[in-house]
Amino acid sequence: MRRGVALAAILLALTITALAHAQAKPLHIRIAVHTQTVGAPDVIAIRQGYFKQEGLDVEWRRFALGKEGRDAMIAGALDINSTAPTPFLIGLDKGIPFTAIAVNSYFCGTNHVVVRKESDINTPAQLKGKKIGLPKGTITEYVLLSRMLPAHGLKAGDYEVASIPDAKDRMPSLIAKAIDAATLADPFVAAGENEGLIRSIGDFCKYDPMPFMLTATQKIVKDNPDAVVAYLRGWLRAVKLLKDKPVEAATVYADDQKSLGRDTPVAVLDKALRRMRWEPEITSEMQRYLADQAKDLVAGSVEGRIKAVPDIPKALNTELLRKASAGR
Amino acid sequence: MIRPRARRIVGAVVAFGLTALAWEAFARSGSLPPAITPPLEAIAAALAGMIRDGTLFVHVGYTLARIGSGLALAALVGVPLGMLMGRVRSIERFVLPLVSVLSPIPSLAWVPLFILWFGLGNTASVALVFYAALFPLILNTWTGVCAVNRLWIRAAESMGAGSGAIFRHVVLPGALPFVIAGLRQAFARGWIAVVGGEMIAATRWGLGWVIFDSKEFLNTDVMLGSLAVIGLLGLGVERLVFAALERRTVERWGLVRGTSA
Amino acid sequence: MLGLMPPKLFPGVARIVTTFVRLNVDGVLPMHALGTLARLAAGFALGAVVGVTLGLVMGRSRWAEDVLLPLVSVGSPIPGLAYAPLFVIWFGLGNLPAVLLVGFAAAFPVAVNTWTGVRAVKAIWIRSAVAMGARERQIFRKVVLPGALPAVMTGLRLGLARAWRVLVAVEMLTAVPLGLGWLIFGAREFLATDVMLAGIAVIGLVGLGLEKLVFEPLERLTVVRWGMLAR
Repeated sequence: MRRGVALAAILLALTITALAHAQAKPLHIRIAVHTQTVGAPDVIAIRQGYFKQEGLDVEWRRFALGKEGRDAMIAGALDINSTAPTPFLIGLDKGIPFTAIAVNSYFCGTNHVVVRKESDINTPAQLKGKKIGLPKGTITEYVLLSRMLPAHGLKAGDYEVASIPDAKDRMPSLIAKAIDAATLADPFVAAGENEGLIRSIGDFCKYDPMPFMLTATQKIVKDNPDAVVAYLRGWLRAVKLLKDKPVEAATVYADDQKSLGRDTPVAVLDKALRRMRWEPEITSEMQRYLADQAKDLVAGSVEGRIKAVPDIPKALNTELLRKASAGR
Repeated sequence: MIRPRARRIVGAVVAFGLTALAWEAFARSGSLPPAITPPLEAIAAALAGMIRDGTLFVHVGYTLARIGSGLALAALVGVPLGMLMGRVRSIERFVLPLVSVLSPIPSLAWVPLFILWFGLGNTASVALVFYAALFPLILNTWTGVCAVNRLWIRAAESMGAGSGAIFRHVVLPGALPFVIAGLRQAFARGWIAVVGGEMIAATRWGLGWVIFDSKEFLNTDVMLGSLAVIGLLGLGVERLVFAALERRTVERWGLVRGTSA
Repeated sequence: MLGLMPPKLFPGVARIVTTFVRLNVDGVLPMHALGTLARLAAGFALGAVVGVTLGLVMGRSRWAEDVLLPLVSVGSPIPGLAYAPLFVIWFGLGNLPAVLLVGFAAAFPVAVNTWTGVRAVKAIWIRSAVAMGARERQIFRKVVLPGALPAVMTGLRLGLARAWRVLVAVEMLTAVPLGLGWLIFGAREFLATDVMLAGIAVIGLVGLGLEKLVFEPLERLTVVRWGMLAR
């Protein structure tokens, strides 16, 4: 009799566990983690287990460029990726089915014009007659050449441009004296300054907020919006940590760097991360910004890059972020 | 018996025809937006545009010039080095480990060093081509020299030939099939290096530049068109240079069974 | 000398060695290297098999050569990375597309050298075999295959080098979570040149190891012993 009761109890327990499991089946999503500071919230959320706590099973891969993540998204291999407005708009123009679900960050504070430490250049005005290394076809190039330099009295022809698309080549080129100045982003700038190699002569915030868009495929938004909301919840928690407890956040980020063999001090990363502005909401200002960017791309400062201004409001999804921010 | 030339043309037509059909099927299947997998007519239109405004020829010219210089330098250094390796044991013992260590390292990894030594510009990308093309030439030439039939050398010796004459009339021609294989490999590797290297050439001209620029803006039709041009140039050089060279030398001498026979 | 090699860009050998040791002790280097080596072995094996088969077929059959040679000539000069998006589309991200892409790219140099090797088999050996009454099958197995072996071995060396180069570059694109490609290119971003060079040193050492422990002994046991290659 006792054995029968014990058996029944075990079976009951197993059934309940199975049912509970079936209901709490984890949601699944595939994301791109950026190696620059724009990827910090993802790194932190993964390490601190925020996504798991939202019941989300995250499959993640690192990407050094938002563009590469976008291409993997196009190939159907990723659901979520962060990218700058220009690749986003170009993708829309070409009919890529993706949507912006939030603003990842405003990274103007982490984007700098840098020179060698011992250089005698201190302001952009002194770049007259010098050679500047920059990534062609990016928002950085655009803002530098059409806003920052003219604001310091320089026009086209007053300086020389060297197109170095790969950020990894810009610092060596600068050190090798192949160029006199370069545009570079954090955390590499903070790391370089810490090593006493380079010096920043200014960031881009005066000229452009430089947003980074958090995008998702239309497919995942349609098929599994709960997964996207769960992702955003975990991501928002990481952003909160970055805002409220920056040193703790920087420590988590530094641990991640260590797993890649890099020994960057927490203080350096903290400095870099503080230069980021985390404001996830897609405001009407943001919409206007995107529309202006698109117009510029159509007019084509170089050869008319996109055919027409894409339907931007249709490509934005503010619902999911609202759902994620609610109920906190 | 079908004439060899006709057979070759039919073969090429079959090969490219099947590939084209497969691509069209994939592109039109709609699994991806047409901007990403453009059908052949879009690719052809993009190429036609570049031919019409003449830019294609400028790009091809710049890239071929870079490959040509790098390849020529690699041949000048690599072939003699490979031959020396085959003849002088101590050189072989010194060079072979170096080649084994350096050959698998991607040229992209050396970019900072090359920028440091050559600055940004054509010299750096030609240096990359040189680096990429060197190793196949060294390895294949060395193998060629070692594979020369000992019998021939002994026969020449018994006929009283000095070592200089043996080298010129026996070893050199004997190794030629392999040297040509080395040239083929070096050419292919040179292309790959130049496409990557044109990124640091800080230039507006070159097929590599076109590929990166079009990728940037998702102009996949231009990108695929440029890749097709690279492939076709590879085919052209294969038929017009390497195969012709083989026909006139090693095939005529009976060292290699000809493709044209 | 310092002007030619700024220390941050070109750490001295001592620094590279200490970094190499540190990364090994921390377990970082073995973790990344193991993943890469496994992918390399699988990809290269695939490429070797496909390449040798292709080369043999091309060398043996005129028709096969006429159809395949144009494809090989067109495909060889195209960078492996250019094929990568296709593999990602078909196989997603991760180990499978990386291995397949490496195998695909490595097959080309192997095929070209094998094809040359088959065509360069000394005609007199074939004629002797025929004179001794050998059938075509036997000639292929006993004369052509061994005869092509020197060229095939060098083709394999080149295929391995190609496999390495494509793998390291592709490890970033198909974003495998652990790999030497990541370590190397990631280190470059931070100008952690010592880490980058330590990673590259692994590649070089493995290349050297394979040469000394695989290719050379193989050659010694076969073509050198048969007197076909004077090494």
